[in-house]
Amino acid sequence: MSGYNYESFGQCEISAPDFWSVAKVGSPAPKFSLPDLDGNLVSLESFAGKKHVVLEFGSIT
Amino acid sequence: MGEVPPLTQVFRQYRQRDFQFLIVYTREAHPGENYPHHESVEQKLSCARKLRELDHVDEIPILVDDVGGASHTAYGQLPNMVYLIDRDGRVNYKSDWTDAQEIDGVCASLIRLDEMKAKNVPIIRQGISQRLH
Repeated sequence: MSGYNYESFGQCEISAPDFWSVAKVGSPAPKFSLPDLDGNLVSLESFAGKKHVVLEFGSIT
Repeated sequence: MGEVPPLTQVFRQYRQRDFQFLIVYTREAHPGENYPHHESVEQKLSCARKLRELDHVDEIPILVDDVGGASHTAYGQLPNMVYLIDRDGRVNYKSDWTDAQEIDGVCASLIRLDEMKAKNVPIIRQGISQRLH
């Protein structure tokens, strides 16, 4: 995980994947199963066939 | 209380219409003294809770990515990116920046498509749009 959680913005590596070449429009979205703030796991698959998902990514800073 | 963030307004509009909005908390884009880089799951979770307080986004569930950023990386690692994934699990829309107004538009477009499918209207529009913003 070194490099991913850089300590200051100046250490941000240019090793990020090319945004437009992953998870392309028309392709299956990468699966995830992540905990919410109460510790409950939420997976993309749990919405399959039921709901469209708007997935926003963000941090505080 | 601060004003309602634009994405929350869009969320309120679509939550009864088969849309699930989710926020994935990632690494800190600009780590510093107040919000340092993450070293443990517990620390990352505690920062995610602060995000909820600060942004008044208490209505949209916040998910916490692992410390290594696996999901963030799978989706392209940008700090403010956004995706719309249809109920078949396919990427319908992606943007390198979260623009609530645009998300409003793509959700409305997906609803129209659903309505056409429900009425067995032949769908001839099957292209991809690109937009400079």
